[in-house]
Amino acid sequence: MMILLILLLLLIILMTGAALLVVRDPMHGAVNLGISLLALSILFLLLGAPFIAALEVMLYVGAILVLFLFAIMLLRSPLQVREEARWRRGFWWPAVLVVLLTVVLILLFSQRPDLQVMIQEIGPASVGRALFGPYLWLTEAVALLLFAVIAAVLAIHRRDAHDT
Amino acid sequence: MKVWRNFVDLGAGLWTTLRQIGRISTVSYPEEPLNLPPRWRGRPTLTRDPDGDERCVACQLCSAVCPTRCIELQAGERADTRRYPLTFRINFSRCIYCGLCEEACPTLAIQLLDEFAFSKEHHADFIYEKDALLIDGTGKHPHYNFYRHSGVALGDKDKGQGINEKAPVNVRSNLP
Amino acid sequence: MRLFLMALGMLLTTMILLGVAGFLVFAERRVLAFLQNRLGPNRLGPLGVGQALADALKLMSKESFVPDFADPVLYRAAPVLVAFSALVSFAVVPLDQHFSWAGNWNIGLLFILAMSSLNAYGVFLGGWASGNKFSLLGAVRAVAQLVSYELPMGLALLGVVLLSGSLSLNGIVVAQNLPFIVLQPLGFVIFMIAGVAETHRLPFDLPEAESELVAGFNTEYGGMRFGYFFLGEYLGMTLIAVLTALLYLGGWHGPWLPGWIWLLLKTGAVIFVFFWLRATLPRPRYDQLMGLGWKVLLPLALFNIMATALAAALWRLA
Repeated sequence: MMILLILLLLLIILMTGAALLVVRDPMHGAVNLGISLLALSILFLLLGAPFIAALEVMLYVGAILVLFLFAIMLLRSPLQVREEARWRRGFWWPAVLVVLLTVVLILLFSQRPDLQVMIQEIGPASVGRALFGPYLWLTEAVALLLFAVIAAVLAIHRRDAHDT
Repeated sequence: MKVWRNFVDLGAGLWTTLRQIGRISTVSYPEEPLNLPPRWRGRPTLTRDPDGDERCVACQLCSAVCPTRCIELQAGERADTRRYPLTFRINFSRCIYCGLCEEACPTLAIQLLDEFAFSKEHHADFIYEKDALLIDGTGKHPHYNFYRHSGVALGDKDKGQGINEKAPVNVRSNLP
Repeated sequence: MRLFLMALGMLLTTMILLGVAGFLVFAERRVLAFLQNRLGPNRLGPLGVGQALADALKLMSKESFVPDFADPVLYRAAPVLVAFSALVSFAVVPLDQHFSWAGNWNIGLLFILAMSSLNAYGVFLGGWASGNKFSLLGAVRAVAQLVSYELPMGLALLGVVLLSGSLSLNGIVVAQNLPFIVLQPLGFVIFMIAGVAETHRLPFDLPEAESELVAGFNTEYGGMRFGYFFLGEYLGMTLIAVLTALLYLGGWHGPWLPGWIWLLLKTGAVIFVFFWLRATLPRPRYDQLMGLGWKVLLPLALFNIMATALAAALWRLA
C-alpha cells in the first residue's frame, strides 16, 4: 500500500518534472514545478519527515516559486494560442525517461521489502534539537546572514526616504 | 508616541461604529408606513374643485411643458362655455415625475400625489386614461376653485365678482 | 467499515464547514448592516437566515462558463484550490482535546501555514488564468501581500510555540494555563493584523479592491467558481478566528460551559472583530500596506521573538 503510494508520488514528480521540459507557457511550467514540489513534500511526509514536508511547501512552494511567478509575470507576453501539435512532438523523449526512471525505481523499491521498518519519524522537536545542538554554529551563521540582509534592505530603503 | 496615537485613533473609530448598533435609520417599507413629505412628487392625478367639477380647463400647458412628452389631451367645451378635457392621457412609462406639469397648471388641476410604487407587466398598461387619472377629491388644495378667482364671466358670476377680484377697469377712460 | 465511517465523517465535517462559511456571509451582511444603521437581509426565514441558502442556490444555478481569453485548465483549477486549501487546514483544528481529525499532529501549525501559501496560489492562478489585466493586478497584489504577511504571522506564532514547546494545536492549547494573549500581547496584535491581511479582508482587501480593480482576481469568475473563492475567503477567516481563539485566547479552557462551546464563543467573538474592523476602517494604499508589513510588523515580530526567548530563558533560570 505504502509502496504504491510512494511510486505514484514518484510518478507524479517525474511526470511534472518532464512536463517542465516541454510546456511552452512559462506559467504552466511554474504550476508543474509547484505540483512536483507538493508531491515531493507528501513523499517526505510518508518517509517520516513531517517537518521537512511542511517547510518544503512553505518555503519552496510558498516563497521561492512565488519569486519565479513574479519573474514570469514581469517578462510575460500576452496569452497566446497554444500549439497542441508541437507540444505532442516534443513529448516522447521525456516520456521515455519517465518510464525508464519509474522502472528503475520499481526495481529499487522491490529490492527493499523492509522499507516500512526503515521509516522512523523525525519530528520538529528532534530537528530543532539537531539545529541548536550539533549544528548550532551553522544556524547562527545563517541567522547572521539573514540579519545582514534585513539591515541591508532597511539601509537601501532609507536612502530614498525623501522620495515618499 | 505616534504609534500610540494611532491606536487611540483606531479605538475611537471602532467605538464610533460600535455605538451605531441599534440605531436603525431605514424603514422596512411594506410593513412600516412611509412618512412622505407634503411636497412629495408621486404619480400625477387630475383633481376636482370643491364643488365637484373637474378643475382641468384643457389649456394644454402641462402637455407643452412636459419634458418627456408623455401628456396628451383633447379639449372640449361644456354647454355653459366651461372648457374640459375630452380625453386626458399620461404615459407613465415615460413620465419622470419632474412635477413641471403641476407647476404649469393654472387651475391646480394636475397634482403629483403620493402614489409612487406601481408596476405593470406591459408598457401599454402604463398609459393611463382620463377615468384612471381623475380622482374625486381636491388633492393638496382643498378650497381652491379656479373659476371663483378668475376674471371670466361664468353662469352665476360676472366679471369682477370673483374672490379677491377688483372691478374691471374701464379701458376707454383714464379717469381714476 | 472504518474507512467508510471516516469518509462519512470527513464529508460531514466538510458540509458543516461549508454551511458555516455560507452562514458567515449572511452574518457579515447582517452585522455590517447593524453597524451602519441598517437592517440587512431580513426577509427570508427567521431573522433572514434563509438568505445564506438563497445565495448558495443562486450561485449554484448560474451558468459556469470559461471566457475565451482565459487559460481553461488553470481557470477551472484555481477556485477549487482556494476552497480546498482552506478546508484541509481545518483537519488540524481541534474542537476539544479529544475531538479533532489531526489535532495532535506534531506539525499542525506549520501545516496551516503551508496550506495558506497554497491558498495564495489559488488566488494567484485564478487571477492570472483569467487573462484580464485587472485580475492580473489583483493576483500580483494578492501574492505580494500574502508573502509579506505570512512572514510576520509565522514569526508571531513562533512566540506561542516558544512558550508552549509544541507545534501541534492540541499541545499549544493544553499548555495555556493562562491565555497567551496575556503573555504575548504584541504577538496577538501582529497575528491579528497579519490574519486580516492573510485572508485579504476589508481593511486589507487590495487584491479585490472594487474601487480600483473592478473585483480583482475574481473579476472574470461567475457562478459556483466565484462561490468557491467566496467560500475560501470566509473559511480562511473562520480559520484565522479559530486559530486566534486556540493560540491566544485559551482555546477550550473556560469555566462552567463545556470546552467546545467556549471555543466556538471565542471564535465567534474574533469573527465579530473581523466584521467590526471591516465596518470601521478604510482601505490603505498599497505601498502603505507593504510598508506596514515589512517595516513595522516584521521588526516588531522579531523583537517579540527575542523578548519571548529572553523571558523564557530567564524563567527557566529562576
